Amino acid sequence: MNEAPHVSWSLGETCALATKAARGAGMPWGLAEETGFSVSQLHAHGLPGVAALCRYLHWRDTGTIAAWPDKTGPNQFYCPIIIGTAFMDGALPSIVKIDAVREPMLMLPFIGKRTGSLPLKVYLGDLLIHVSQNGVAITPHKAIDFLVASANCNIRKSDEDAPEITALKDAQRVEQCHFGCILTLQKFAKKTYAPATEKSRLAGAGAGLSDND
Amino acid sequence: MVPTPRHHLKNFPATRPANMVMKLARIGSFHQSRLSFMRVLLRRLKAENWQFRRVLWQIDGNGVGVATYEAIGPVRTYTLVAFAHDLPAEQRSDRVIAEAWDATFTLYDGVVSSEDITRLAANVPLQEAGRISGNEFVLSRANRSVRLFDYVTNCLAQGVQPDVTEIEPIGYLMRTTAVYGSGKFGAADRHLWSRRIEFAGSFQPELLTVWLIRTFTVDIVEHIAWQKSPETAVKLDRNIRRRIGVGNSTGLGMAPFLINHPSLIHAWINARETALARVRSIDRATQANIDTLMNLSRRALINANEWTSDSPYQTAKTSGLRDDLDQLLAYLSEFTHKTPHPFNAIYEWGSSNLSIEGQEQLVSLLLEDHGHLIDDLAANMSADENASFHIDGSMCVGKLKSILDNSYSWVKSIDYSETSALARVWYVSEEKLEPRLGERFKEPIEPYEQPLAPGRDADLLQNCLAHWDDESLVASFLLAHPEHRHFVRRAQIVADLPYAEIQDNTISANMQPIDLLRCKLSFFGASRFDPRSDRWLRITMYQGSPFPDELQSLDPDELAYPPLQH
Repeated sequence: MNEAPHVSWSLGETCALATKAARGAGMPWGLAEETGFSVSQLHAHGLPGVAALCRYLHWRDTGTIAAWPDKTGPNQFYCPIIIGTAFMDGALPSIVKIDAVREPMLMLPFIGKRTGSLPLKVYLGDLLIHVSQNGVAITPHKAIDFLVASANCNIRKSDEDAPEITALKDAQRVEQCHFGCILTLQKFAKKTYAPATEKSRLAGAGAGLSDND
Repeated sequence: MVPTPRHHLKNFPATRPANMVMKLARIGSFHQSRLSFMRVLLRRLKAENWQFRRVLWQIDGNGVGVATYEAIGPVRTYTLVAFAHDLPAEQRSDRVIAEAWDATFTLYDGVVSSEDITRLAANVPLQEAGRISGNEFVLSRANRSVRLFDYVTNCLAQGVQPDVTEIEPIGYLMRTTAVYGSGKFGAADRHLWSRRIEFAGSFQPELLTVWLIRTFTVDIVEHIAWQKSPETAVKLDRNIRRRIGVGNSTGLGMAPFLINHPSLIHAWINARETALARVRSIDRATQANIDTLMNLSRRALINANEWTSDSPYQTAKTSGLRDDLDQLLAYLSEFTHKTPHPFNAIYEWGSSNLSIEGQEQLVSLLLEDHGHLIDDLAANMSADENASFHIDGSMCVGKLKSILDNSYSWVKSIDYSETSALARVWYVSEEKLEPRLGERFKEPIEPYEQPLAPGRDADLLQNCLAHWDDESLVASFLLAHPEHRHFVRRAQIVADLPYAEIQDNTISANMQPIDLLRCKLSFFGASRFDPRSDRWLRITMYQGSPFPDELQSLDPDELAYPPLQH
């Protein structure tokens, strides 16, 4: 891949890459698809989703994931994708406190998709984020503030002072500064690819007849 | 086009049932129709009076350089940027593992600047190894037809026109080996342009690109001929030129698309089936209507007669198609136009007397003369897949069970304890990141399996759900069984979309992957299919269609089948 100026990634290919990386790291396909959604949605809102996923998959290689509603042990954390989708689906209460969620930024896109309970206030540790049908209000925080290794998450009903959140019109792209994270996700994605053999190369793709005529 | 005198639109008869249509053997017999995306594109370009011009032509005597073509619409302009290369013959391969091509292309959003051309020149020729930007919509490449490119060049250089009988069986000077869009390799995300009216439907930027590539392939042949012999060289005769399309080599990379996009596939097939139902519901016809259908059938027979393939699978089907068209012509010659619901009667006759290949050709022929009844359906041949992505966790398990019972009843006929039912594995090769099909019990590839076996996954989900109470919530089920999440999503999408699912086992030992490719390519508008094995095939696109400089004077729909005097 060229590391030329102006290189950026579309949200679509980032979604596909995040999906494959999550699958490569061992997630079931359905949760891997949700991971792709989360990462691309975060970037659409200007948040560094690929960085969070890169960090999470690295940690996941050695860390231990707790299964809801187990009490987390000293080295155990909840998966932000499992917890985020469980909240979105309605498997968790709409007002809930969850200790020790790893890379909790990744669960934010799911919170906004839970029907019937918005707007919400979400505390990731000390960070307060407002979530509405239109998405996530980032201000006054900086995007980098959301890169939190782990946090206790507290989801509450919003009060009348919740800020108005404007829906995004044009999605953003994943910029050059994420090149390293993209490479890491490609390494995880590679785990979903079967090593090629000459036999499979010919049999699997159906060559054998001339393709130069 | 002969106007149809009277018609009812009373939904008589109903659209064909999904359990008939959505079989691999049938979707693998689809033919192009007036709802195919190439034809939708050309109708729009003509109706909106789009203008086309070659702006840049910096190609040297060896046919190496850059050219640009602008497509200027009522609101926006798009530019095809074409890079022509000097490719050694030994490097020419249609396989996705190739790393160099005779020509490479991108479709730029707007009027391209020289700075952009410089940027693109550093990336587009590399294809997958390069990066394009949000200003580009499509990335593509093409190789010369060894059989035809030099022949046509030499003829033109000598001042003679090439023999149509040499051109016809091949039908193209160059064939594309990939046409990437929708955000791939850095291109603009689909949702950024999908609401542009000129791209309503499916694959319109990609097919605009291919249509412009077709002009480039002729221009470069004429250019090289002129370079060879400026004193004698001539340009291609327009009638011969029109018989040149663009080839395309397509492998398994395309096959998973139909499985991965259920709501889109439903939109495509539902439009086609609705169109057929509308035509079948016409209550009366004139003799002129029947004569038109006979003429179209004769022209389809010319197409079938010129359709060559070394594939035993396709050769048998094409042979049957020729017989079918002979039979159809004999039937129509005796047919009285006073028959009530005449087109329904013809369709019903076809169902009883023709092969599946012939039946689906007849469907396309029946649609052909009824644009005023059906062309509006083309605008609905797309889907907002984001809207249906999210799972309804509040659904009861009982409801999910009933969806599976209704939409996947066909799974009961498959015995997944048989090894033949599980014989294949869809996987992605490390080598070029493209889908392949392997043997589950002969190769160590199962750990890499892609979720492309809806029948098997429905069976697994049903077995698991059997242990859950109907009153439980899907949300609780998924927290306990995340391994079924992808299929619960699919079941909820498919529930209200009858044509969303192929009702066959996509991993069985006797599955023909070529059927998946052909279904998609027929919706693109491919006119001939030449399987080179059970997993890849060649097609011709835009053969017979107008070129940009004749779009205003010719009707692209009139040219969809070869002319009778041909």
